[in-house]
Amino acid sequence: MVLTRDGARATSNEQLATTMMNALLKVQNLRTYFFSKRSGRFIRAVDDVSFEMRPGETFGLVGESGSGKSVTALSVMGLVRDEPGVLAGRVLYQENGKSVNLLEGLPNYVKLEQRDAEVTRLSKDNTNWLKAHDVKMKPLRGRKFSMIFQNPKSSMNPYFTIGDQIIESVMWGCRKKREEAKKQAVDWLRRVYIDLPERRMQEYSFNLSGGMCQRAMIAMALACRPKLLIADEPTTGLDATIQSVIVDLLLELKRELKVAILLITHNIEVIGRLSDYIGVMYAGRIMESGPSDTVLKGRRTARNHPYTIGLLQSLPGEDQVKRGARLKAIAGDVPDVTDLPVGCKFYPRCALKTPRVDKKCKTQEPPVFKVGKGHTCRCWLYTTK
Amino acid sequence: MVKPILKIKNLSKHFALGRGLGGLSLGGEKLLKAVDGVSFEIARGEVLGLVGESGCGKTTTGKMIVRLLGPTAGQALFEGQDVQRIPRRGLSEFRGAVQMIFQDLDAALNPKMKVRDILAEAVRLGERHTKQSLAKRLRELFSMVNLKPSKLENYPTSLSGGEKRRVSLARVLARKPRLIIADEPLSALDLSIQAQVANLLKDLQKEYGLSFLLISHDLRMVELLSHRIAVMYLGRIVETASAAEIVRRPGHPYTSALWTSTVARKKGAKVVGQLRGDVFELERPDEGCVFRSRCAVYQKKGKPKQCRVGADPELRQVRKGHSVACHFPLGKGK
Repeated sequence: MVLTRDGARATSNEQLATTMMNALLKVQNLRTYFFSKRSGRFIRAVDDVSFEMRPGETFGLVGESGSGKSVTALSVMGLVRDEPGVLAGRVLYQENGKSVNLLEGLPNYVKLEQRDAEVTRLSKDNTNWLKAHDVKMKPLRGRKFSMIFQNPKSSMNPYFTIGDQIIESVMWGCRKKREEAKKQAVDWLRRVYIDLPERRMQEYSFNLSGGMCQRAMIAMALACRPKLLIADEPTTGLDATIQSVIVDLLLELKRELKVAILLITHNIEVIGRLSDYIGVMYAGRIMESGPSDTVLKGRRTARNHPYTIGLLQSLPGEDQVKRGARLKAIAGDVPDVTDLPVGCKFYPRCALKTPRVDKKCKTQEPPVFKVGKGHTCRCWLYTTK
Repeated sequence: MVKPILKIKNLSKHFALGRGLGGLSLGGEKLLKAVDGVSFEIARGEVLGLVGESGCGKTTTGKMIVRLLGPTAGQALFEGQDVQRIPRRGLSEFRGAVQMIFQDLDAALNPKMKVRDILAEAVRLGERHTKQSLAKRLRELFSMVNLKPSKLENYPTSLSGGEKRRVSLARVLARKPRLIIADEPLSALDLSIQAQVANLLKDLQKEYGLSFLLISHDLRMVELLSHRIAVMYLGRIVETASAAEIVRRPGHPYTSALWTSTVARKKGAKVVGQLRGDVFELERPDEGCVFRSRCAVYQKKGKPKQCRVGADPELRQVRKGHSVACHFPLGKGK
């Protein structure tokens, strides 16, 4: 079933094959379900998500709201706090040749084979779960993994100065004394292009603009040179001009520090400029994943997913603007996670349904097909049978 | 000449900043010039896009047009009448004719009312209806915005972002407006839904010949939907021209920088000075051009005196229908 038509990318693919060994983070079949008491069913926020990240590489997760991007990130960080019903799969973190499964050994770590009914029973005891997960994650958070959030203002504590907060995280993350940490904090603020860093250290988050606050957050997250940075919507809610500045800054730091970035955003343009690999999420699944220029081709001949194609077409391109034409919107609405279709989750909105596969799309969920080197797609269109 | 539906003359709004307001340590009584001497016109059936970074006064301008805020100076004339001087009796008619679509959807729709009641309230303000004719009118409004009639029984909280936006549009259309002030109608919507709503706005505009003031920071969408574009910077309009012209031949260094410094910039586009810094971080100069601290042309020309002293440059016509407020407009003398 392996289809390789793309000979042109051979060199980078070979590279890919060799680096595959030393992946930094491997997420395999991650499932995070929440139990909804109202509907008595599981909300499958993240369903069978797999991806890998190598050092210095950016993996972009793009998708609409409710598609499970953020929950994926929170599951990796061990920050799922809303009583998950199921947290299953493997999150493998590799360092110095050793690999640890961060989800293993949780009191109610659920094996994949278990079905809904059993899982409900297990999920009742989750205080221990969170604690155990915390014990496992605590040494990693802030040292190996760090995270920046969507709203920089609400992630800073308004009662403490920016300086105090960065110093605190440096003292914890790099195990430094206060004086040293202070010096490091000032250096980092300068590095993210904040003018008068000494003065800004004394200020509170509400004195700073959104863009400046986000830069301070980036400084705080990177100050201890983590291996992995999770950036959850780092540019959302900022002005177009500031977005561009933040994107440039992340690009620069990524090159310099060789940090792997898991970038989460709904902005396809930001993803396109920052990522090496892209995963397109829809209804809790990664519908398509691959090298960013392959995914962003947005053509059926490039074996892209119909959802990716639709997303790219709904952007106002130059032609449309010139002719004043209508945009090619994806029909229908973002699906309700409590009530997903049986077959392909994108089926009701799909514009590329063909009679050949139509019946299959409606009744069977497509598995992950390999459609090129490093390029996978969950779509029946690309099955050879 | 055809009379414009809306004419703004030297509109200003200054807010007094008291000490300790929002923790801003500005000290003493200082004025925040949110909108400062803005003038423009909107013709009947025209879409004017108003773009600029956050905090530049776009929304404040919109609110003064619908009379939610009183201006410090200047006038907004709707069909020749100063909106501040509309007598009480005419106010209801005015509020129907000029409608605002608000940015925050959750704040705009009452969560305790069903969609049916939200719309019926708006319809009844302008029309008398029996039970049957009201139901018919609501269905009609719903089909105008491509919503399923079954959604009438929902509460706003159970609607998706796109649906809420459509409901707020239907409510605006219920009063048969002639001018719509749309404040960021596409922000907070998912990408696939943005395109749907953009198409809907375009269709409605064409079908009913509506005039729009489209306030947005999404440059691409504004370019797509507007006939003309006005660019605002720190409370001033720095450039106006037709949408095609302003994108192809920007005259103000700020416009040019705004276009090229967005994430979505075209590959190989000529960059006239990347914008650094944030509007809020800037000290607003008392004299001279307000943009000069971020201006590439000002730096390149060796900080000319014209930009430093005197009043902020006025809007001047550089080509037919293209005005720029800059001492050294781009694309001249080539």
